[in-house]
Amino acid sequence: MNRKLLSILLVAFMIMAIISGCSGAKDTKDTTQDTPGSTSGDSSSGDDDGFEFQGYPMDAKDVTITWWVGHGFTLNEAFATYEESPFHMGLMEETGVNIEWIFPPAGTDGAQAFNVMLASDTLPDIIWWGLMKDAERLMEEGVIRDLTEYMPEYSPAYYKFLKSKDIYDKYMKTDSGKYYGYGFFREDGGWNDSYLGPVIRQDWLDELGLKTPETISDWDNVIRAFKDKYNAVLSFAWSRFKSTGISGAFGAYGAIDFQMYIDENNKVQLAQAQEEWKNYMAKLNEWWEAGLIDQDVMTTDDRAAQTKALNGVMGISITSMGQLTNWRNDAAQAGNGANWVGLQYPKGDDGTLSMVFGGPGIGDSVSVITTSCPDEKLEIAMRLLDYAYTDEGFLYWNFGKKGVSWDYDENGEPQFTELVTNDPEGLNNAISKYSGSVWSGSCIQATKLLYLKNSKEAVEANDLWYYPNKEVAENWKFPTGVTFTTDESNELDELVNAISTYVSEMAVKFITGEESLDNFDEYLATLESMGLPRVLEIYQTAYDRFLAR
Amino acid sequence: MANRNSTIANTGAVNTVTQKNTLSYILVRDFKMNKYKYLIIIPVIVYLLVFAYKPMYGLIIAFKDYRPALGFDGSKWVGFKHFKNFFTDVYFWRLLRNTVTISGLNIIFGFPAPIILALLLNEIRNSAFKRTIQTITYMPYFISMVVVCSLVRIYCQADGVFSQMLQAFGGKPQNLLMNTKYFYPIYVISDIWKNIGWNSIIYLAALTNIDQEQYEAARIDGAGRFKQMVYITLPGLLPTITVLFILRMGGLLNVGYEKILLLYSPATYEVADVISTYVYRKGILNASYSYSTAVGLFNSIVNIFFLVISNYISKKVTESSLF
Repeated sequence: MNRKLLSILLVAFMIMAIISGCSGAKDTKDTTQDTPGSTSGDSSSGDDDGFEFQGYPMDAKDVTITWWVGHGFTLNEAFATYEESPFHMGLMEETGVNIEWIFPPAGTDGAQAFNVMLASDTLPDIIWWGLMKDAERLMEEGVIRDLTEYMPEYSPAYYKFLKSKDIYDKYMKTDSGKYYGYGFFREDGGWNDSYLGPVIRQDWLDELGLKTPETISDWDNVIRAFKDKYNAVLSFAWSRFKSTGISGAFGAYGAIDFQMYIDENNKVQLAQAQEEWKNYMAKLNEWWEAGLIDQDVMTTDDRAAQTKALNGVMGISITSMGQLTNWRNDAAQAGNGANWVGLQYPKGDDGTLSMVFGGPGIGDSVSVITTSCPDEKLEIAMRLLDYAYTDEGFLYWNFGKKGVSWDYDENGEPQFTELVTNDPEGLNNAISKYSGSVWSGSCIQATKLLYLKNSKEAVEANDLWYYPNKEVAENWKFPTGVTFTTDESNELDELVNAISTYVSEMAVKFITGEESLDNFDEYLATLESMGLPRVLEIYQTAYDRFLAR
Repeated sequence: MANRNSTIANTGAVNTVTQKNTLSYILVRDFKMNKYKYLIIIPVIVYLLVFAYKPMYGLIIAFKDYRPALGFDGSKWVGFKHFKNFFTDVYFWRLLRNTVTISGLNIIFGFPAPIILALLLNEIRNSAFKRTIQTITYMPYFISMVVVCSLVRIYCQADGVFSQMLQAFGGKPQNLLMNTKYFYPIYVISDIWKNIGWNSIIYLAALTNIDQEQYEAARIDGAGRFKQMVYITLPGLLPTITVLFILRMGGLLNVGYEKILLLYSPATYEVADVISTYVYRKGILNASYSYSTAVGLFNSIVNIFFLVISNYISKKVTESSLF
């Protein structure tokens, strides 16, 4: 009898384990059934046909729009469902529409969730995801709507915003000139796209009586001086360096990662195939052989870099705003007098500065309206999305509800209230409970928000990396808004990965000296045999289409 | 009298029973006798059906250009395009070489290690000591791979523990993970360290099945500890070793990308880039579902091939095999 009972219990236990695994996914499905209001398919209330927009909040509480959000303004981890989230509930109130938010289950891969969602029968009304490069294809396949006809009428604020700057307009259209989505923009253009750059220990500079280094020769002197006096090296987290590093000083446009850029003649070029890049690698090799670069850089991540900063292993580096704040906090806690500050990107000895790390301040994710959204709800959906680009919507998306999470201070500037600043989980975490633009969203991110979120020195560093270099920060990169046709994608698929692997490998070999730069011509020949000319051709064609939008 | 009658009645009954010796009857009777064993296995069968067999249908996307919006059936057929793409890739041979090398080294060094540990543990008399050793060797298995790799990365830094140890032998200070010579040893040794305890469990269990009388008989015959191990223990373990070895060979091309991803860098692509990491990087560019399915299908076919071959060889050589 005992054994029988045991087996029954075991089987029951296993069945329960399986079911509890299933219910995790079911929970998100269940919430979609529980919310009030009509579901996507049957808004049969007569009001919709005669919907008249009379400002926000709209009188549309009985209309439900489903919005799938894959990343960016997803739920803060403190909340289990969106009903607890001030930002998401507040948006419903401000716009006067009932929104059914759908997020990928916590801890799952957003891309997987997106594809699973795409494969289902009915799609949500609005999807926010990085589908910019697939937009044309998705429109052809009948997944997303073409909004061109209604854009000026149903989304006037957004339309005006797009027309205010040519590049915004280009990014948000497909090659055939159709509008389809609402993107993420930084208010000040590229300011925060230049969120990483050189940093240096000001206290060591002062001790040695050196002036702030500006050219590569200055850097050379400073690095050698730091080595002599403090046995420090040039070090950094690999992820912060491998995209561009200090390539601008050499007239180059990339470091280790495969990087396409636009040259003065509007032609697409590969950064790592240029003579200037060879000079960049030569200099790095020189420093490497002299023991001036940390031997560990290629396996160093942000954490390890932070430790090295604290231990005085390095005095000059390249890192991000956020990391700079961490290093400063560490130094303050340790009381070792380290004064990390932002440093201008170095110029060549002849004054060259071809580029700095940055971009045009436009994200690559968009909110699109799917074909599952019925015609009666189209205007409401477009007005809902337009809200973020209006003046009041701008304030709401960035700071939350006025009087609750923020208010104007004596200078008429928005400031977070104590509800946010005194949150026990920290300021950054608290902000994301009330604001939707912290990471990204279909809105305009206020520069002021970033000022409030980051330390003073980090903001100053960012200013230093961006403002003096404005012309060369924004426009050198191959735009993320360019789209490839399916055939182009397939062809690139076959060629790019091999070239990218080869470039990265050779870059590292050039730096460490394992491969001599005398063999640069052979390297170029190999690139050609791997199909680089064809790849450049495809990129160029796509880019020309982008320009013609 | 009564007995006679009952015997006749019984034989009658037996006759009717033997006539019903069909498959369905056997199944039903077996089910009734082993009801609970069947019940226990049902969840497993359901699991296999749903998660292993049904998804096999998805393999067709290896021959299509899969787009999530079009679904499995709506995507275009492209035949062997992805396979051709894979085989003609500039790095194909290097990837294959690296994958087989890493896998091979893991088998050559990583497979015998738990066996040796189990044999050694078996020789320990003091049970408290034995248990302690067992616990200590099991523990690394439960440490997450990511944590282990972080540790390895820190120790391999130019001023890290391993580098310092090498310097004591006359090496110069360097980051070990950037040197192609050291990648394989680091990978294999950290794998052994992590898994040796856990993998030895099954051998220890098999050891308890060996008949103790054989040992006594051997001792009487004058065999020392070592001879006992070679002539009794190892043959006793042979079925277990065979099964596990064949299964291991069935995973020859499955070098997982997680650990390599955490330990490699462009400096070591030459020896560390394996099929799975290369395909992973490719996927980032274009979410190439079809391509990675095609590569996975290739991997599976090669693995099945090796599985069958090693099973066959094993059957011929040692007369024990998996199937």
